[in-house]
Amino acid sequence: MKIGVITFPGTNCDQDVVKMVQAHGHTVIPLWHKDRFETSAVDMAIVPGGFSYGDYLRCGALAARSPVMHSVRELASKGKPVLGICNGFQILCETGLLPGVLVRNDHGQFTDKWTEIELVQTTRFFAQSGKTRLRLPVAHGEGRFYADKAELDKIEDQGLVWFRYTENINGSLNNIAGVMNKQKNVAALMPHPERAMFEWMGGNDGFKFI
Amino acid sequence: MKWGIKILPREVLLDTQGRAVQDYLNQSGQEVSQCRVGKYIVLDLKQTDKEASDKDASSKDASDKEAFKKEASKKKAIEITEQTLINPLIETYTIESL
Repeated sequence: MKIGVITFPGTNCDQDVVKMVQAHGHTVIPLWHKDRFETSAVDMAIVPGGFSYGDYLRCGALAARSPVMHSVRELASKGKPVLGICNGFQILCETGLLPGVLVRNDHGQFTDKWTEIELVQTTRFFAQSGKTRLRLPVAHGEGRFYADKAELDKIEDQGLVWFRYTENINGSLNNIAGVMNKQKNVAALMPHPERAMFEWMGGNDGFKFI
Repeated sequence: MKWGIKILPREVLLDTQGRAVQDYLNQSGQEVSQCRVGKYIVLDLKQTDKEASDKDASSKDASDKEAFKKEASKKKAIEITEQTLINPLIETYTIESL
């Protein structure tokens, strides 16, 4: 499979994601934020973590409006898989591909630790290891999932919650750690599967994530 | 034409910056019941001035022309604000002419 890995100015997890893609035996298509791409050239796109555009304006806001994300929208509309990790989650929410928004952690601190998440609904493409509880690292200051009551009810009713934290680490509403779109081809989460690929990394629950 | 856009986090949302500032002020003996931190963005719209003057070139009344230009510019500033500068899920805004 040809997997596009997007780099914005300020992205810092792209090379980890490249290693993850290669470890799963797929081919990496590096994508730069200024580039549009042909949707036929990419089978899946991953929006990695980091601090795209320095988190200016709002985290993910400027990246969501960049040229490469226009192509990602097209890719998603064709039903192809799009995965967002951490800042990638924030970006996909800002594009409108995913519901809700990520705001500052309720305790006001940057959270950097191992966490446990529980699978709620499966997507069409991701997290196919069969594990329903995953131990993955998080590293974010703005990872509190938020939506107003009506939106949150819709997310729950439509079964769009992908993962919940088993222990709420940032004040996320309904413990939400990851969500998906209605078509189940676009999904994102705050924890980092690419940082938990092998035992020597401290855990391998991120393996078979793509 | 210049526009000032004042953006504040929604009341229902925990404003961690505002809370930190408020805590500091209260600890230092000020009596502050609420402090919220937002941002202020100044937009100078060049393009809209030109578009408006092109469209309205036939109008002879100078004040009409000015009002038309201002209205078109404000519309553009609102469009930019709602499409990019704010996320309506978490923020509200007010706009003023500068």
